[in-house]
Amino acid sequence: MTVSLSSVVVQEDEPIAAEVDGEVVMLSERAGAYFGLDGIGSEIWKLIAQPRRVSDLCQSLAQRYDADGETLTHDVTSFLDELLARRLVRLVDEPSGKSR
Amino acid sequence: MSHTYRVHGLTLQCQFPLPELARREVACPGPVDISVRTGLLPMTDTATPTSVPYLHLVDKVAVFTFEDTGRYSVSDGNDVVVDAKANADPALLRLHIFASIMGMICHQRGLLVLHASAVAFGNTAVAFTGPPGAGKSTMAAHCLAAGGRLVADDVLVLSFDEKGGVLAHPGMPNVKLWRDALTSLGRDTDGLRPDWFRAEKFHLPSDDVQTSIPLTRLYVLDTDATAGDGEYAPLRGQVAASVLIANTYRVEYLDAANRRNAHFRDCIRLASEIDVVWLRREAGAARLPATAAAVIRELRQTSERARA
Repeated sequence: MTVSLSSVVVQEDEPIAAEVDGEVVMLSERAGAYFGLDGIGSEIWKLIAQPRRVSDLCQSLAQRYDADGETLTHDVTSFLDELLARRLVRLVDEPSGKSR
Repeated sequence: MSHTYRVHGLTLQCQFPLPELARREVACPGPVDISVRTGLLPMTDTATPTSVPYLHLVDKVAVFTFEDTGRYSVSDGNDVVVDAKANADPALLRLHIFASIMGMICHQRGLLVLHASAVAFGNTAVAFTGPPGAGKSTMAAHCLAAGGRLVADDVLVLSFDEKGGVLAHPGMPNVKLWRDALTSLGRDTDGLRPDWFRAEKFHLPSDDVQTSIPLTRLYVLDTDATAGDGEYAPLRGQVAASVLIANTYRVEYLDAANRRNAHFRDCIRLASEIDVVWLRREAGAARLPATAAAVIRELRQTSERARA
């Protein structure tokens, strides 16, 4: 399973996340590991506290960072793929046609 | 006849004398935090293995099995039973108490304990951590030579005070040093007591603080061929937090003490409370006096700025 622009992602409940100087650090007991996120990674993490569509996420980041759409989309989806592989986020099944 | 000592901010009562803590013996103890006694530990087949080969859990009691000296149980962060082998070397047995057993006691009590050495200048302390051989004890010893007072060597117990500040508690009253580091301090190894495990390491009795003291800064030591006397970089955020987690003393005992989550939160809190500074210096003892002098100079400037 990989993340696409139309995926809806949300933080997994399991890792304990905390913030230091604006950066997010996580303890996943399931993975038996700690994870640290950099500035933008931390921001993305905070933005997916509630289920959020990836395209929507990219849009708000693009506005904030005045970034090139394609590069940003690629970076965001591969970052979310990584979080998904480590079971730090999950994909939310959304009934088609539901408006958000 | 039992003996009572103050160490790591705790009152420890032991059935047998602990000469390493002679300077910390107290005559009229208040409430006792830790009791150490000898006794028989029954062998049981209900012991649960942990990720640490020599550590088992029997209910919530941590049971250590050391081939050299015997078995030790630690419960509730306050009760230690030593079931020593007949031929156990007492010095080695005490070494286990000061290291593994004390590490488990601290985790069970919910104290944050770092693999670090700490020195006080005036009314605050700084600490040095880093991988083995990075120079924790040596940096501390150079700070002592420059007028600092020892807080703790190798094992540093911390707690948060009511105002959210961080307190460092006085640990073992000796600094362990390697011979070349002693030479760089201009001290001879004659008359110093050899460390059990490492014949080339020596205990240096030092001027030490007797009461808990605020900790303001943690230096993370690292070596690099090109770093000269020293390069500094402040560490923040996830990096600072990961340094504290990684340099936790006996971090491998956390799960057995059921403290993994609480420890994580404490490290996050500590990372926001104190300065964490990366200090990279050239390997070997030759540049150490200069590195220590630079650290002390910088500390003085910081404290002068704080006063101004």
